[in-house]
Amino acid sequence: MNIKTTTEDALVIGLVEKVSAATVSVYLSAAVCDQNSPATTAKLILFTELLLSGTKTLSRDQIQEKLRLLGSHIDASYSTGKVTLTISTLADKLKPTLKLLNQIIINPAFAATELKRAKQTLINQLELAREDAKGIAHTKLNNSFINPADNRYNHDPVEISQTVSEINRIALQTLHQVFLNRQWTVTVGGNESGLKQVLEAIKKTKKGYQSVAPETAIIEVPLRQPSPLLLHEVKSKQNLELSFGAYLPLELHSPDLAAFQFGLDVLGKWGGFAGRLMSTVREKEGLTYGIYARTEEIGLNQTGYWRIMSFFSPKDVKRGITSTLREIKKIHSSGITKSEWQRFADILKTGERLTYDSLASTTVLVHSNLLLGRTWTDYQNYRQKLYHCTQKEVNLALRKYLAPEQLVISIAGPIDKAKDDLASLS
Amino acid sequence: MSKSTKKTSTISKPFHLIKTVGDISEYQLKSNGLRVLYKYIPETGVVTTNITYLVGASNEQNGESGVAHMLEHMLFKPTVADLKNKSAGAAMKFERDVGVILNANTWKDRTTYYFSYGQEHFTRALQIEADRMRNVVLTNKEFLPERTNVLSEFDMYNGDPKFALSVGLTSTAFFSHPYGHETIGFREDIESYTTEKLQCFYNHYYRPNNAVLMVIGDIELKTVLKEIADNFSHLEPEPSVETRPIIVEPKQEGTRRFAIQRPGTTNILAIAVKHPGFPTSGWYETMIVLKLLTGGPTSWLQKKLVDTGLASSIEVSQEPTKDTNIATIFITLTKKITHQTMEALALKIIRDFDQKLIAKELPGYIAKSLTEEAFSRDSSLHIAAELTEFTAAGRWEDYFNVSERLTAINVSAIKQRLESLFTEDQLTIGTYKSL
Repeated sequence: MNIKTTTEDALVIGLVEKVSAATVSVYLSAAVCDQNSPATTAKLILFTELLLSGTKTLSRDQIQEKLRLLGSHIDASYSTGKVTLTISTLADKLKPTLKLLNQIIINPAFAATELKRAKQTLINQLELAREDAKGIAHTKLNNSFINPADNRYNHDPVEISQTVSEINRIALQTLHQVFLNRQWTVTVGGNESGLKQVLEAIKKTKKGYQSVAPETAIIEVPLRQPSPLLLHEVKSKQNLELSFGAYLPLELHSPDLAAFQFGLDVLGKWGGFAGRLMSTVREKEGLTYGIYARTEEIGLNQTGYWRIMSFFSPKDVKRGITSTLREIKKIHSSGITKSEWQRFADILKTGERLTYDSLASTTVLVHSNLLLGRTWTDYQNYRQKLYHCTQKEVNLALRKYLAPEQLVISIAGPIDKAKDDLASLS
Repeated sequence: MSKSTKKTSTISKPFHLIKTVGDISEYQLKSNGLRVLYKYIPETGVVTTNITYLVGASNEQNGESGVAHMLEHMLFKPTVADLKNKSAGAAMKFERDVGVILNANTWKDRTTYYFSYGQEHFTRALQIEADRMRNVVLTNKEFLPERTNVLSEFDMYNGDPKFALSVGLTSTAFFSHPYGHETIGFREDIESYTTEKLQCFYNHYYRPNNAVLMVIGDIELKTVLKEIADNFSHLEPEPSVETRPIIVEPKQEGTRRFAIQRPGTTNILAIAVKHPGFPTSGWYETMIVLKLLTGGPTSWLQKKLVDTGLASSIEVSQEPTKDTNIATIFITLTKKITHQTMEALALKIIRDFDQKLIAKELPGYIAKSLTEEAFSRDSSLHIAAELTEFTAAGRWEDYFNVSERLTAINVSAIKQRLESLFTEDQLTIGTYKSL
């Protein structure tokens, strides 16, 4: 696989070439939202829905019919103020798929009937979020560390619902102009011909529009001292979903990030069984099915937080939290061992190598790095730094940034079933 | 005979070459019946090995539901050799030393274990699979904490209304066939397992003549066959191991029903239909029918139920199981409609289908399915996962027939399938009501 990133004709481009690929994947993103609020969230969701709901010459049904006949997929989504279009197609259907993509991007109709439908659907979907205990636990933790005006803040579904009626066609048309004139980040995975066709088509689509880069955010600091225990009742669930975490004053190019990331992987590498938390809280103590740790929302000039995700049954929640806190404190005070340091350098290297077995996973990896503001060379340099951290650097970073005394625990689920145990914790 | 063929013939001596279809070859180890599927993918440096035992939830007796899945968890625990070396289970250690991708999953007809790793670790991966096929130590010390984990896993699934509905729907849909419980089993059964029960299951089914070992990736045939012969030849087969007997589900005479009530705000109607096993034409026709009904923003039910504000979402599940099973459409209701009215409306939409619409939309859904198929073969791990389903169904070579099966589907077949799937003697209806 041949991977490169570049900036060309004001586009930020990622190319993942696999000679034998019979498929092509494209990710096209633009940061369109500078200020976050419930209304901007609603607007973004409706915008992505309406992009695929008709052009000036094609109805929603006709777009879907064309896509079906090509066997291609075009989806639109939003996250942290960015709109992303995702295209997946067979290589031999790429040309007509790109032609359709051009129509969708340039000439969306934003028809009143479609807007009415999309608003109704959105309100109904937001209603479902009330029972997503895992999402709620994470969101409440996330919002402890992020300014509400920041695009990484997740507004309450009820508040978003209340603003849906305010969004009109003009607001979406204005947002569309912003989308067209913002800098686009485009990553393509496929064979050589596929990459070439996509780049030509996207450049042609973008021609005549500006390419305004998103404003560089300033380093965030937490606005307030968060509450150490956040509880949210979701009666229908069996388990309590937990997100533990603390503010992390590191950004993408902080010299200590790699060492801290290494240490956090030793504590709870995301996925699999390698982390300490999986060895102890799951395997030895049998308290949960999965428990993992990672950094969240760190970006270029943006600090974030670190998080542990798990769940416990109401009867085990006190033991589960106690065991998790014990492991956090232990790694904070004593650091990682020499054996862990040696093993995890290999584990992390293997993880990267296995990603390249999949064209789709590699394409996603390249695109997510570009969205963070990291070129492929930057990413590779970061990985090298990660693999070559010394044990001492890792332990110093854990000591400096893990901050167990500032830990926030966010819990959602059948709180009432564990109220005595949870009360004793607070 | 060329030199290279001669070489292959020498190293393949411990094996029968059963057949080659496309770029996959099937071998069988003469000493114990272990079957091997091999596919070479050059220049990636990565190999996925996957061992699939032809035993799953459908081999369980009443009162021991989920035992196949419980045993799957125990295969990550130490073997006799690991205990002697005072080491953790070798599979876990493999990940903790090297960072391989590893996991396992149990389904109705199979239990599967896999590793994905750099090619230099091939021998170690095989050693682990061979050792844990026969030598895992099943004691309470290892079993009891793991059972708590499985209960935690059960509660994780059971907190999802759709899973809770699935448990009831499968039990209601099948009177006799062993697909009548979910793979993880019932909580009450999980709580009553013993190590003796697990040992009995393990001794019988975890045998080389009941397993298929897949090797997919950047490793040469010569090495593959030599290492498999070296590591697996000594394992004893179980002559009495048999695939379970064919059980014919008694004829259904009318719609079957199941209801569940819980606190919360979610209300769901589930419509389950019985469909032919995988990978028959009938299975693929059912898949296309479900796509017409629910696959994408302009599918029939999406347009008439979600776009009109009567439903919040529509999801569908269809499993690639060997025998007739149920596929389920889950419709999450908004406050505008009751379960009863939704059931009548949804079934009316389905039954009043427009043949012209099928003719118009069918080619597109086939084309989409072909694209999805191409994307699902993106890596050695994905290829092994897909091949596993064909292997468990007893027809691995049909992995190469997906395109043929899909393109053979015509309007008449879909019309007949639609007519037959949603009749009263095929339906099981589930309701999830929030209190």
